[in-house]
Amino acid sequence: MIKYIIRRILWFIPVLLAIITATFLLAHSIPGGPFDFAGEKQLPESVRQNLMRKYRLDKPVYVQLGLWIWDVLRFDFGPSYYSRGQTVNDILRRTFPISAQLGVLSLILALLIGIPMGTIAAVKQNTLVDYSATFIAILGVSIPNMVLGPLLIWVFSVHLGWFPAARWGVDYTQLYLGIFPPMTHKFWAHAFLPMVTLGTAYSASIARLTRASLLQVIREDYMRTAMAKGLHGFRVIVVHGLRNSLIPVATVLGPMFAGIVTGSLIVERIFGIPGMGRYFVDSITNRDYPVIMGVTLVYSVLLVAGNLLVDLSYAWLDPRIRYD
Amino acid sequence: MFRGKKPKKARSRGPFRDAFHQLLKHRAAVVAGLYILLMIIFALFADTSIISLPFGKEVRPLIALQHYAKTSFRNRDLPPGTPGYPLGTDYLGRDIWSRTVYGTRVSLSVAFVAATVSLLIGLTYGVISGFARPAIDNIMMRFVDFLYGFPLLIFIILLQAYFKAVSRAGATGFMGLLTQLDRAMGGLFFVFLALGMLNWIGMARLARGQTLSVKQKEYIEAARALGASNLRIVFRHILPNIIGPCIVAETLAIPGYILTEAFLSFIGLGVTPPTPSWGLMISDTYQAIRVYPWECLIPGAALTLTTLAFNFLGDGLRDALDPRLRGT
Repeated sequence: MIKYIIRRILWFIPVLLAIITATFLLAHSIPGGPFDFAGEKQLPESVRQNLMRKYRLDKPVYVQLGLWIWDVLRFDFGPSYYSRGQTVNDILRRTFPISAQLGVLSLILALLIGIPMGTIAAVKQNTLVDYSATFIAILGVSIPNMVLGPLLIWVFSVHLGWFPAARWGVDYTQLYLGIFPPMTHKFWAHAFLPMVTLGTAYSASIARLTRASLLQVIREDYMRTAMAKGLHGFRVIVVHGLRNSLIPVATVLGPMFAGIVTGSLIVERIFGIPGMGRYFVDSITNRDYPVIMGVTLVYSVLLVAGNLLVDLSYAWLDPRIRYD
Repeated sequence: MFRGKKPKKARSRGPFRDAFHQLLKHRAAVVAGLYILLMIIFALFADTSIISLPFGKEVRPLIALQHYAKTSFRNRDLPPGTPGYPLGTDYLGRDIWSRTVYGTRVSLSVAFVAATVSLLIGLTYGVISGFARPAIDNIMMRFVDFLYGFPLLIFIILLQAYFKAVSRAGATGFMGLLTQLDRAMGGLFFVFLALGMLNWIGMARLARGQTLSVKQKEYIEAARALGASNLRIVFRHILPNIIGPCIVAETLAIPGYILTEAFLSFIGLGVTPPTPSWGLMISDTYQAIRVYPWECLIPGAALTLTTLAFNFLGDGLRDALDPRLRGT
């Protein structure tokens, strides 16, 4: 098992290198440079060339890539070209915890709603409960973030006034260990609507998957055996059934990490949350190469690590699966 | 609560219940299909003069009353129900109903083109990989696994930024031809390209798996014994047997394509304004939701209904094509 984990982590290196190289080349081949304009004014050619030299942009692309990787190995993501006086490290330190809180909270919400909903639907198959759950799930899968977000703001902030419509409840200086938010009323009030917006689609697809796979597991012999032993129905479903039916759910959690990234780009924009996603699109428009690369690297590491976690969770969910 | 004898009961429902069940399942797919058909009609005949109404002196198309880019600064932010503007107007005084109707063109063409491209590339790649020698299969699938770990969305965003910048900078030669095509299509061509280039991976995996399982069947062996060529086996025996699940998977992937286009337009990397994409309409107006909620919620409703329709249609198709999955 440990050997397997080490092998997988070593495999990260070529994958991340390939992602970085492809992103770097693609980002640098976009026509236009970061110092073509200062505001609306075009910079004089000599000034532009000096700036390019200062930020090593006059060197060949592969040299720049090598130097960038060397810096990253020392945890130095470089300066931001666009936000003067800030390094990419500063930006990431400020924005990453917020995006991470949003992502993790919505994932937890998705699991907390999705798995029980799917279980109940499967247990009560072909009843009104099942049909309503299935219908709600298909509705939840279909409503896009960019529609649900404004709708929730309209109903809960504008009309009912229950939640604030924008911004995030904590500042990065108030976080414990730089990532954990204080559980204040203000934090939850700000987090609730974005969390629901991002989590709904995932909870719906988790519910559908849980239902489908639990329906197959329920027909297995060991379920009947457990029943015959006289175990309590609830216990049979949760301990014997649910655990075996969660493998498809674990499988989609990997791509879901990626989906949370997409969603957070939209949700952060709609709710005015100062997270990483907002910087990403702007950095591409501004040709702010270090920010593009920094954010891409963080996302890719999360994605690759998420896939590893999913693979490891198979072994926990189904002890027959072994990695040697 | 489940008591052990349920599994049998699931198969033998009462006739009334069964009918209700079928109604809910398949009526939904039927309604979804009708809705999509209606959208296709809207998309095709949005601006045609065949179906038109006299409006005072001028004759206007019946479906989209106005041109999507026609601004009118006197009629900004009108609420739904204003005479002449059934669903109101947006911040530039453009008719929201007409823009929503024109928006079906963008979403539907993305749906069909991206699905076709991904099906073609994925099927070809998957069938070749599944049919070829294990060594080749291994290499091809390693490549797919490799791509699977990539943050595809970041690449779609970067690709779109690249295409847009090239198009703005003015390109020559082959790229120039592509940018002209893109401009003629209101910025859609590059969306197709980016979506199609990156979304065939799942299809390739599915097609390979299906090919591998079909390849072992006796009728393939029989065909081979009769002297059929590889090409004939692939086209006559393998493809017809694997196409069903592939089409179902592709239909279920369509909402994803529609949402990706809306997402790209939302962040400003999709269609070129004033081409009315629902994502662009939402991103233009969501900040004004306190004052003018309809400007954002109407295209939002259209987008939701469309993804909903494709999801229902996909589910219905899956049930119809694979009875074993019925009810799951």
